[in-house]
Amino acid sequence: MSMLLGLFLAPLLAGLIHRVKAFFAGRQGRPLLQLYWDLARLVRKHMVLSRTTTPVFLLGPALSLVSLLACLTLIPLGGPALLRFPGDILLFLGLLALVRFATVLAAMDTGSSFEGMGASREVAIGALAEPGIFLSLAVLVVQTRALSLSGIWARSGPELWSRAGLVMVLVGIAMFLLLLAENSRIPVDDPNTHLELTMIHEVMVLDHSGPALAVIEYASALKLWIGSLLLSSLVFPLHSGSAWLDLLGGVGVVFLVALAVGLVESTSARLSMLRVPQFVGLSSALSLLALFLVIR
Amino acid sequence: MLRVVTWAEQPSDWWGWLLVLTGLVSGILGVVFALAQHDLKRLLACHSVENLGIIALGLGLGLLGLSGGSPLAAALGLGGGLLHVWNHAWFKSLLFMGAGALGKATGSLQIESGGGLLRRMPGTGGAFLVGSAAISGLPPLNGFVSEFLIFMSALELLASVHPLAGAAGLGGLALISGLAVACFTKVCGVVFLGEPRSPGAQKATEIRGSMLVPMLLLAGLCLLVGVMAPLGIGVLGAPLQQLAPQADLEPIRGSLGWVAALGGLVLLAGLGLGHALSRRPSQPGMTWDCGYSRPTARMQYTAASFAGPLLEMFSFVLKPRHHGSPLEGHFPAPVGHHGEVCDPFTQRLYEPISRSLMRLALRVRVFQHGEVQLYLLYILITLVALFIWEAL
Amino acid sequence: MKPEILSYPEFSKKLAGRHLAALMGLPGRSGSVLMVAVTTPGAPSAGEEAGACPPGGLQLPATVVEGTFPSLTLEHPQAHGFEREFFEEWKVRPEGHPWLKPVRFPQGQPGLTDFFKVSGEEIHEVAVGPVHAGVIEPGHFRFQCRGEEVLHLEISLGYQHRGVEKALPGASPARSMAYVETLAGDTSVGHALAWCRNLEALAGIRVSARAEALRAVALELERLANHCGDLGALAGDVGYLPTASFCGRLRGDLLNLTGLACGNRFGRGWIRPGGVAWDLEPVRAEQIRTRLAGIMRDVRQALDLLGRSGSVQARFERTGILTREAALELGLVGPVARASGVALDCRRQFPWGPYLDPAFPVCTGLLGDVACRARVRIDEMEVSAAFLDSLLAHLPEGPLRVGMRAMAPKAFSVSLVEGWRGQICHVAATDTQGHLLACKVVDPSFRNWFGLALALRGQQISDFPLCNKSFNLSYCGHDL
Repeated sequence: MSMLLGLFLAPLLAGLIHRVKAFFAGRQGRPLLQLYWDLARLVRKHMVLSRTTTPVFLLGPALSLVSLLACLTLIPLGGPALLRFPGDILLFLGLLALVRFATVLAAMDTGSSFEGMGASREVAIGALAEPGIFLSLAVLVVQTRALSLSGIWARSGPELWSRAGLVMVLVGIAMFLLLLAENSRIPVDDPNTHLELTMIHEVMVLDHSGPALAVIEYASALKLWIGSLLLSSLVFPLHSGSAWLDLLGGVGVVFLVALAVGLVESTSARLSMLRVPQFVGLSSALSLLALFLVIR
Repeated sequence: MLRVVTWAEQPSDWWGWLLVLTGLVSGILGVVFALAQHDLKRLLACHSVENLGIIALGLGLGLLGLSGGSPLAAALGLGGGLLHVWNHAWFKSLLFMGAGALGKATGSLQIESGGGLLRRMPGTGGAFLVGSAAISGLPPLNGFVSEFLIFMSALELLASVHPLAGAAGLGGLALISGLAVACFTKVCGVVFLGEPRSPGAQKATEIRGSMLVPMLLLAGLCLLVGVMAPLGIGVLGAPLQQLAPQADLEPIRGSLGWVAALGGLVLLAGLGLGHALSRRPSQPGMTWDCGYSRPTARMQYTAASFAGPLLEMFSFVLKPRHHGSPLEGHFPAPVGHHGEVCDPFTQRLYEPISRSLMRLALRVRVFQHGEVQLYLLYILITLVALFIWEAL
Repeated sequence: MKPEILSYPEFSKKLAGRHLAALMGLPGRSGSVLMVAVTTPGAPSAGEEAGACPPGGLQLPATVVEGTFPSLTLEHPQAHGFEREFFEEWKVRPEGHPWLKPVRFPQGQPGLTDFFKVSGEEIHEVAVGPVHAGVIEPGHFRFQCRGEEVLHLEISLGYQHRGVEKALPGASPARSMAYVETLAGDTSVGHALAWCRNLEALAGIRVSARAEALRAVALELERLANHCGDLGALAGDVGYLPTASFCGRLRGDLLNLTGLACGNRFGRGWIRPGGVAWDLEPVRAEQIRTRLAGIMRDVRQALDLLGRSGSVQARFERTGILTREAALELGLVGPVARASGVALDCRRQFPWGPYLDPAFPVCTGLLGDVACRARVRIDEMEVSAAFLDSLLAHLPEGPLRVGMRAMAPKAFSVSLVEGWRGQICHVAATDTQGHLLACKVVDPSFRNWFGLALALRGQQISDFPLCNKSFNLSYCGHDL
């Protein structure tokens, strides 16, 4: 159930962020459901495949999407996840690394300097973000003594907040910063720009078209959903006793996170590429601080 | 080394710590130096340093588990370390064979002179890709399984007896695997994908079957170990018994089962979806060139450029040297440019004290970058930390 | 004023320390070419106030060249573009020119040139354009990069060459106005004004004070609209939405003021030889004045947001630095040059009509980075708004337009106008019958593009779009 919800609602987040930004810019903005229409249209289109490319070019998006779907089975929402076992956190993170590996190679497959540029930025940010994600999840592991995402979900919540509020705030901020970085949002990347030289994620998929682009667009919507869901389920879970209410609350928090992303994008400028490592490093530093507070 | 451990009654803490620290240092430095290499064999050699670091890290965490009285962490760490010894042997032989094949086919081991080889050598390229994914610790391959065990050991320690070591292991290994992904996407992307960057790569053809078959077998082995891990984990039992009689990997078998199942499924479904995509109607075209009709192979990202941002961040350890005159005047004359990174051992092993002092100083300097907002944040963090200290 | 024909060494010496506004060729006797330079006084030195430079001081040194001539560029780098152009047009080779690359291309071979290369296996090239992702004009940019760092940028334009300079002398008055008003679409008023002032000078007529005032209104409204759009685009490039969208709207409002005055938002058809085509009745002038005050209030608010956002300023500061020395040597003009501390402004150097105020402010910056270029634009908007406010309140009386007369034979005229992008130089010469013989048009973009290339050296490639916006140059104004 919660997984189906993710599959259907993920593209809505992008629409919501756009509407928030449009509101701040004094514009009406595009329809909330625009991404759904875009996907439907892209799927029906033909593709243009560069003569330089190999099967890696299509395998990249395919593996990314499938890995993210697998990730979705591991995250709890309103109830424990479909699959749960000690150490599923590590599989979750391994799959995210696989997404990066696949996307980057698909970009390098085109032999384009633009896409190489995007790929290079992606791996640099990814390599720095990785410790951040591990450490922030480690804090939650220590706090809840659970080795699975569902376990953390079950033991996190108001009680934990009252016991270790500061730690949770730090973890929440760190995870939010990582969400911005990993999903190519401002201030790390600008998803709206049309300037190849400044992009990260968008420039890596410059040559994908038609159904392959649909797969990529949907996968990035899912990635944003998953990132927001992590915050929602692990940091702000609801345990009201009613599964439906928990589910509703969880989804609500996901949309609140998207709202916050929109707010950040509306009110801040992009960082210079030189400053991005510091931004990502900051999230690792916050997680580390939280971790020291916990294990001291 | 492990034999020595078995002689002792009860390993003491500092053995584990020593191994964890050596592991972290050699792991991170290994992969950072690998990123900077131009020569494929040297790059792989640097990765051996990195993988030995991972092994040492696993064993160290395991020993800390033993000394701290957490048999599960001990089993996971020692088991992961031992398994990584095997895994490393497999994927590293595969990668070295791939490098050999490359040298034979193109006449060069320089990464920058590869390009477009997956089209010309699909067997070698495919096997190399599998090996790269394995060494980067991606599911569902064998590298992921051993790193999974070591990560689990770190998590166990974190939640129980040695939180600090667990945290260090976790963060360090995460950084190592993130950098390994960067390094191997660089190699695969520059050598096997894109357009040929040299005449040698242009003319390259697939190597003989007798060279290809072992590579394919090893690639298959990497995959097999990955998905068969839950069944094969018992093999580790015997050596583990020697090291730590009470250690038992049984509790993790279920998790490994799920990992293998989900990982295998992802691989199959991904291949399926990729195949489905390739069946969709399409027409051939050229890579987007911004309308400029005379593209050259120079218009591809080079390996050095690809690794550039990361190398920049780690330049405090790498100390790269750039040769080439700067551009002068409004209308400069043509210039050349070349960069290199020095052999780590001459500098690093023999001047450890001065180096580490330098490194410490430079680490601290990371926090000095002139961003006022971040300074404010530091102050805030310090205040909050002090406040907590006071409150407890 | 007539060109003063000198020997080549004397000609070259005459250029020293001066700003080269244009370099053009006129057909000489028996296959030789008369090379005429239009020079204005050089910038006052760095610390000096702009007023240290007295108005006027135009010089027209000329020399006869044939076959080849020693390149001026070695001593006067600001001549590099003009010499390349001269070579293409007259087939007279500047010997020893260090950068003799095509400015424009023969039909059907755009973009065919040897690009500057930095060799080495680590270096990669990035080729951007001529087709760009946004709705912008075509041009090719070639970067030599190591990682994210730009070692060298070469800009190759000429994709929009239409042959305007060649077409102008023979065209009917109506047609030539249409050519001139679309030389660079965003500088319709500036170019129309420069063109008309030349024709009037050749015909020996003076336009009325009212017409001059209305022309100044048109020129400053154009400046306001474009500066406002540029500042919005700069904000948009760093992803700062509030200012980007406010300025986008306000630019439209400012264009509407021009539309209110003459019916065309870009001021096309407003300025005509002999005066202006449309009057501003008192009611309409007052309407524009009050609406301008309202728009400026919003502009200040939007720019205040920009100035107060630390994240924006961090991106602007120390990005794309162009030193004062480079700006002077390359003869850069407009807000770009002023941001680097070159205090040159035609409104002050060659004032006319309402600009005859010795205290007209010249806005300058110090560092020549993106922040300075933004700051100069903000300051210039304030100056223009205040200027317009007082001008619109007291428009002088007079006829809108005086009749044109026949042009003097064998005459030579130079017109310098400070358009929003910088110095616009039009040169016109008549033959023995008093018909136009040759025209030379220099859009500020022609010189400033090279400044952009220079500002990018050693920068992050991801900062290129931001630097590009801070220059905001015209492709068609360069290509002509």
